[in-house]
Amino acid sequence: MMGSRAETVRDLAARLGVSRATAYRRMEQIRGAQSQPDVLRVVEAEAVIGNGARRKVLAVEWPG
Amino acid sequence: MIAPDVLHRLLAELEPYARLAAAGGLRAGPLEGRDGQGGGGDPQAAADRLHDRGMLAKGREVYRRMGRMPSAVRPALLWLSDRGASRPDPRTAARLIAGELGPIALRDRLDAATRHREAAARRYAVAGPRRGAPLTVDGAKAHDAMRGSTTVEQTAEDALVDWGDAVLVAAAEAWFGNRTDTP
Repeated sequence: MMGSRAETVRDLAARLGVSRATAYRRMEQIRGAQSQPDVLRVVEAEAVIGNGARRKVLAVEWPG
Repeated sequence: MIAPDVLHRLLAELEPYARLAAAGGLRAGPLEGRDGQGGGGDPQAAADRLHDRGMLAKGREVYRRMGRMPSAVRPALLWLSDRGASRPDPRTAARLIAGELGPIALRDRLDAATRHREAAARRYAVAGPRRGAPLTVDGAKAHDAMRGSTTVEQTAEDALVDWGDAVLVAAAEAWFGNRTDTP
């Protein structure tokens, strides 16, 4: 998506002013509705965890 | 920000002036005398009641000192004397005086920001996130627009409050710095 920014659960929680658990539920809800064209896109992004390894995390493409 | 006790002391000291003005001001007594008049029909009754409470002399004293104040702070002192019976918190007082006496550019900026925020709130009500429905692109944009407009409105209001606070501080400094009698 043009002009969008991938936001992880933590970013989404801060932006919407909800807890991280609620943001995770919203993310799952959005992910489950990807067949609808007007719903935000959910992508997989890479995140560095504590020991330096990388893992996949879900991120929502927020229009910017 | 002006200290609450300074603001409240200033309001208390200025109050007799507004009471004097409400009772008819510093006009001379009627030439035709007061025979036959009494109660509410007597134009001097309110001033007499002030005199009985000792407030008439205080009002005259405030009037005398007000005339010696710099013209830059006199409108603020008159505004405060009209609200002499109230004890608002400093931010509210600064916001109210700036809303009436502040620069028109700052007030216009706040009005525009408020209109923008209300329009964003209406868009948010239509396209914003709904309970049980996944967040849409339009909903995300409406969310950002409303949050951004709220921040802009708060900034505009803070600018007005800063202006009002500076005026209140200047008025208090002029008033208490120009004291001739002992408190």
